Amino acid sequence: MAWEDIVVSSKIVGHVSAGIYRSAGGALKELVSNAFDANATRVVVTTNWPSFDIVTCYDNGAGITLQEFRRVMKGGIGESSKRADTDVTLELGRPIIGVLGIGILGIAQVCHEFKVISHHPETSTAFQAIVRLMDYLREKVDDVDIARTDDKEFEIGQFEVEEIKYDPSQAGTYIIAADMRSAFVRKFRESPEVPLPSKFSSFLDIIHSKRSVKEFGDYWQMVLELATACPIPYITDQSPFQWDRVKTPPEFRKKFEGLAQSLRDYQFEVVVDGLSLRKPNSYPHPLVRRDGEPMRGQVFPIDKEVKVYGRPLKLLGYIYMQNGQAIEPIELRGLLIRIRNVAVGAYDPTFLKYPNIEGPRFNWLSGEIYVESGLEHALNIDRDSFNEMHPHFVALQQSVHSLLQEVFLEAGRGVEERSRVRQKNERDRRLGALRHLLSQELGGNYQLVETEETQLPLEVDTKYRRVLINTQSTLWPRARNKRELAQLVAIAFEISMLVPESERRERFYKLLSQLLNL
Amino acid sequence: MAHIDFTKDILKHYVRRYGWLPACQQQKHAIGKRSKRIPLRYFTFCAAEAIDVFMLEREGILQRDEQTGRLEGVFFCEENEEAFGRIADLIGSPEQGFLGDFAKIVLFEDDEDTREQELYSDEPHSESVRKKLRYKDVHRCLREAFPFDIINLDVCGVMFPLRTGVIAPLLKSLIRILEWQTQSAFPLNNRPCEQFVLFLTSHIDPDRTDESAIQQLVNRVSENVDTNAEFRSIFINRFGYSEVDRLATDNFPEFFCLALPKVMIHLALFRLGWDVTYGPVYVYSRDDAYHENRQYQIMHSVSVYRRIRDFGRRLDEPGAGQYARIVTQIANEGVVWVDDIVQQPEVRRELAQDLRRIVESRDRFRKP
Repeated sequence: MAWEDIVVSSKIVGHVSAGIYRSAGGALKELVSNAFDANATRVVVTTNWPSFDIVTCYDNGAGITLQEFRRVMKGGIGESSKRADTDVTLELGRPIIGVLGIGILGIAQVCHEFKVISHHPETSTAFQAIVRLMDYLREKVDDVDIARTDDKEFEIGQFEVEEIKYDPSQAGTYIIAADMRSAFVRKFRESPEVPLPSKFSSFLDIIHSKRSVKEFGDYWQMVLELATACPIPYITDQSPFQWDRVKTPPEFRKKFEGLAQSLRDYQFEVVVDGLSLRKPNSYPHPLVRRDGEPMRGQVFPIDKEVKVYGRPLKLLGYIYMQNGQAIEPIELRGLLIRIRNVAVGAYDPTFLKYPNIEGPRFNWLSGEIYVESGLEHALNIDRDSFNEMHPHFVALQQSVHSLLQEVFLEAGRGVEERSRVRQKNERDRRLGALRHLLSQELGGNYQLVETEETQLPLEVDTKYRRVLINTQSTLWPRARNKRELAQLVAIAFEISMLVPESERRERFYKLLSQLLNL
Repeated sequence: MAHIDFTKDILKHYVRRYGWLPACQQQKHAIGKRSKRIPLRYFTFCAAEAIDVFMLEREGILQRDEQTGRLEGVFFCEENEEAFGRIADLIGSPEQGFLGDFAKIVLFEDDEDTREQELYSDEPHSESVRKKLRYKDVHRCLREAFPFDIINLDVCGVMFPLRTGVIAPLLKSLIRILEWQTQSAFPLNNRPCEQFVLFLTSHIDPDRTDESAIQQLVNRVSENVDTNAEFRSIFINRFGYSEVDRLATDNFPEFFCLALPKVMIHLALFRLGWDVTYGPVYVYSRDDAYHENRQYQIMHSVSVYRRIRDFGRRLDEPGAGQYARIVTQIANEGVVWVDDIVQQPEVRRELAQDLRRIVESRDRFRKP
């Protein structure tokens, strides 16, 4: 075996310099995407928690040949040939989602070197390779003036390969990183030592119990990031929603269930340290509000197909608004864009830079948009962000912002409605308590009757056991809360008038105290 | 070494089922109440198939956490990176894995490159120093994981390789982990380990064993033959003569299965303060993948270690009598030749069936 240079085109160098992934989850996402494109049905990521000193990623897909691997290493990283024909679909109706070799740059950010083993069933061949990227790659490429360099290719590391015996039981690709970078291991080891549960529903219960997954550290964040990003089914299989708890147009439900079904049809499973991942969206959550009422929500669909500068842009998605209670953890608040079912970055809490200030109402929102066609060219190579000047991005932004106006209008209506209901409930409660007090003080069941026929603003009718309140009396203050207070004082006064004079004062104060504390 | 498909290997499974399992059940019973609060801690070299782990889970020795479903208390060591990932995938949620050469991990000592250095620090290190520091880091992690309730040193290779002398790395590692068992306290209750089970595996191959080591083992057994009448009588009764060097030549596997436990028992009783009960020693043959028509043997021993009270603070030496008794017992019981037993069709069938069920239950758990 001999070491060979890994070379990339100069356009890739710039992206390496910029730091191609923001997080370990982002780096692993690209390996998972490659496995999806290789028709794998299972990808297994292990981290050796809590040491985090070895990370492996195994998939049971089609593998890669030595020739193809060598071609990628020799300038093929990031080339677009893999997705040149955007309509190409793989087995099980899967679209192509990855970019050649980009995963390699990603994994190189978390380790000094790694091993690739691939058993390729189609050719019955296998190879293993050791890939070593330059230790100070970023610093080195920063020194290169890409604009001035005439070189089309740039050396970023070395690799050595050898053919090994093909074993059909090992079909697929295996990536092993055992020489981890210090920054990765230290950050992960600093995480609280909370092991992952083996059921995703338990994982979800745990993260929903916290305001932010950050409380569990980088490891849990990485798992959530992968679960959010990968083309895997929803936790409930059907969709993110409990339809009986959310208001939505029926035609959207049908469409979205079709989309969820296509995710199931991919038959793609991603396992991290024994935890089989699902999309973490499940709404409403929690099922009971803090005030004890059942939690409900509203789904605002986005279903759009337009042509922008002659190129199609097709979107299907939603913005979910939870009724007056924040979505937790905060990592699920905002808007997530998925291109070919893979998330681009994380949830964007600004909703593509929505210009209006809506305060905490943003916390009630979580949305996903599946871009079925278009927007591909607006994607930066890190596949984590967009070129915000791209016409498709601008069109998407406009659609989202226009929908948000409707959402916030509805949110305002919801606030008013909930406020009205809350006030009514409070009034009913206080009236009930007042009746109870009156019955205790006067004996028998007294009714509070609003009338216009009494001379005084308030009278106690002991014969028919009624407290008559003349609602038209001009003596009552106009402001509701002052009026209610005045009525309570009047009730205390009138009842105290029913006892002998010597007891009146004491009774009045006692009653007043009781009434004001209702 | 050629890989053996342990999902079909009934020789090894005989040892698992009739050697390891009963010993684990007894250990589980012995630690009784403690195990309800603290999961049993199992350290294994389970190989890529992890059959032992799933057998122990099926038998309720290892348990899953009621709330999370995680298999608790499983620690493993594996040198091969590829196998390491596969084990982690199979178990799904091990407590911890230790990647690297077991002896190198256990016996790590700082040198000028590694002293006061950490692998995961801001300091940049060359690739060769990183490699050393990696062992330092795994050494620390392993040391912190001690003690264990069951240690299954199902390691590959001979105990005394050529040109290593009698104190070979593997034996040194064994001594070191027994020391760690002696010194460590359980993490959750901070109590020392009072009893543990040790499964020890070694290849038996005289051509690959250091000659001076063999000679020293011969000398150790000869001492017993010369000084202990009961042992001598049993030895002659069993082998037909009293010359230990002859046994080492004529029947190396039986000689080795007598000599190695002697070394271990001596160490435990007199240096570390553990009383040892030796169970059966199992032996079977394997074809040598590199030499046609050549075989070597594999030995599996099962032993229970119980802490001796007031060890090091006594005037008498209760170990002396105990030592003679255990060694005599081993000589008396001889070894269990598994190859002969599994010739019986019903035994083969039963083992194959059991193995299949374990693999099925293992794979069933991994399905989403």
